[in-house]
This record gives sequence, structure tokens and C-alpha cells, in this order.
Amino acid sequence: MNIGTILSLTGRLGSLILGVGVWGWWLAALAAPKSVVLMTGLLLAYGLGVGWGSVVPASAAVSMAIALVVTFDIFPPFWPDNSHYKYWAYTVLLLWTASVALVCLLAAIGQRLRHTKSAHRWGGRLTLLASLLGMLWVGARLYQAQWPEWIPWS
Amino acid sequence: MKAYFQHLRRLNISGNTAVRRPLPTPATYLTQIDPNVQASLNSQQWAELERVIDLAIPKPAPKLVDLRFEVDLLISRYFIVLMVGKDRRRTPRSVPVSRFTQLGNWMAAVILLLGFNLAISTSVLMAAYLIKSALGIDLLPGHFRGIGN
Repeated sequence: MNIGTILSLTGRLGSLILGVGVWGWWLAALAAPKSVVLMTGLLLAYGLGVGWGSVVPASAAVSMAIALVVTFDIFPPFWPDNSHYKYWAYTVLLLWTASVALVCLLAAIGQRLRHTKSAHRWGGRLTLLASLLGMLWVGARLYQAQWPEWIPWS
Repeated sequence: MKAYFQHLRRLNISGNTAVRRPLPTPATYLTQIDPNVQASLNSQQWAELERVIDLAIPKPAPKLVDLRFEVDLLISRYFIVLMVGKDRRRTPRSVPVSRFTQLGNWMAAVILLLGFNLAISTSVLMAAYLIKSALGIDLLPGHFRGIGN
């Protein structure tokens, strides 16, 4: 494994972990029920275990979640009431695009893990899954701790 | 995202997840003939064999659309293929299945297509609605506060 591959892999893993943290933050912000959080955890495990074969079902699940947010007009509590709807539309579009990209990244890393030696495969999967679930929790905790500070929380 | 499209491109070129398999030529089969028999063939027999084998090798028609992807549902892994191309077949395709199976296949295909259509239409409409809203275009006065609000 050369330095380029290592850097690329580190970048991907970093982006994935950061992205899952953002998912956790938004799940807490949208007051997602426990069943949705559980589904997110299962989706992470599914993407890591299956690889590219998970892209279509996982993207459909993400799109369905976004459709629910749009249809039922779910806003986070900190969102100002007098703000124009276009800013919320931008945010939802960004969230949707980033989530589909994250699903693809998850699948790419899952596919890579499928091709690693069987001795390291399960260890790698479980370690990464634990890190991702931990990051989901960290994201939710950061929201509860009212981070970042530039958001008008009150 | 980029990696996914690269994977799709590789699938579309090769037709499977492995590396591209070269198309068979008459030589692919002729090299499998016993060397003693090969040595006994004269050039005319060799050429005739090559011609007949070439006739028997199926020639894939060029496709206008060749999209392949896989869906892993844990219990089983499926592949989905969408192909569009010019039909060069002169004789009707022989279908070695019963009418009942054919009907079942048609029904499954229609349900699958309807499902895909519904999913893609919903996504397209939702994206169009969000882009319209993001651009600040308000077609109806007042904001629709969602179902149940």
C-alpha cells in the first residue's frame, strides 16, 4: 500500500466518520424517534457489510426520509419562524445530496472491506461500525450541548 | 460518488463485477483440440473449421443503453439490467417457459417498473419542488405547512 492509497483511505474514512456525526446531529435536531435512529444504525451496518449492492436500497431509504421531512414540514426547533422557506429548501437539498454521497462512500468502504483478508475483514467491519455508531451518538450529544455556538439557539 | 460511477462504468463495460472477459474467437476453441488432431488438419480443413466456429459464436449487438447494477437484499443478491439496442434478430426468440411462467414474469416486471417509476418520479418531483423553493419561486401565495399542520 503506497502513501497515496493510505492518504485516500484516511480521507474517505475521515469524511465518512464526520458525515455520520452530521447525521447524528441532524437526527437529534429533527427529533427523530428511536426507531429512525435504530434504522440509521442498521443502514450503516448494511452498507458496510454489503458494499456497492447497498447503494440503491440505502439511497431509497435516505430519499424516503427526506420526503417525510418535506411532506410533513418538519423543522428543527432552532429554525427561525420568520426565515424565508428558500433557506430551509437549500438546507434540505444539501442534506439530501450529502446523505446520498455518504451512502456511496459507505458502500465504497464496505466494498473495500469485502476484499480484505478474511482474518481482518470482520475486525475491520466491527471497529468501523462501532466508530460510526459512536460518531452518531457524538453528533446527537453535540446538538444537545447546543453546538455550534453560532446557531441562534434561543 | 465518483467511485460509484466508476464502478457502474466498469460494470457496463465488462458486464460483470470481475475484470473484462475477452470475447471468444474461433482460435479460443480451436486451441483446445488435441495437438495430434491439430497436426493432422490441413490448411483447408483448418480454415473451414474456423469459418463454422465463427458462425456459431454469438455476436453481441451494440447497445444504445446498457445499464447494470446490483441490489443486495441480504437474503439474496440481485442484478438489474436495462438494455436498449437495435433488434437484429430475424427469427422469433424461442421462449422455453410455460405461458403461466411468462405471465408471472410479465406481472413481476410490471410491478418492478411501477415501483421504480414511483420512486424515481417522487425523487424528481421532490427535487424540483426543493429547487423551486430554494430559488424563492412562490407559485401559490402562503407557504404550505405540510400534511397535518
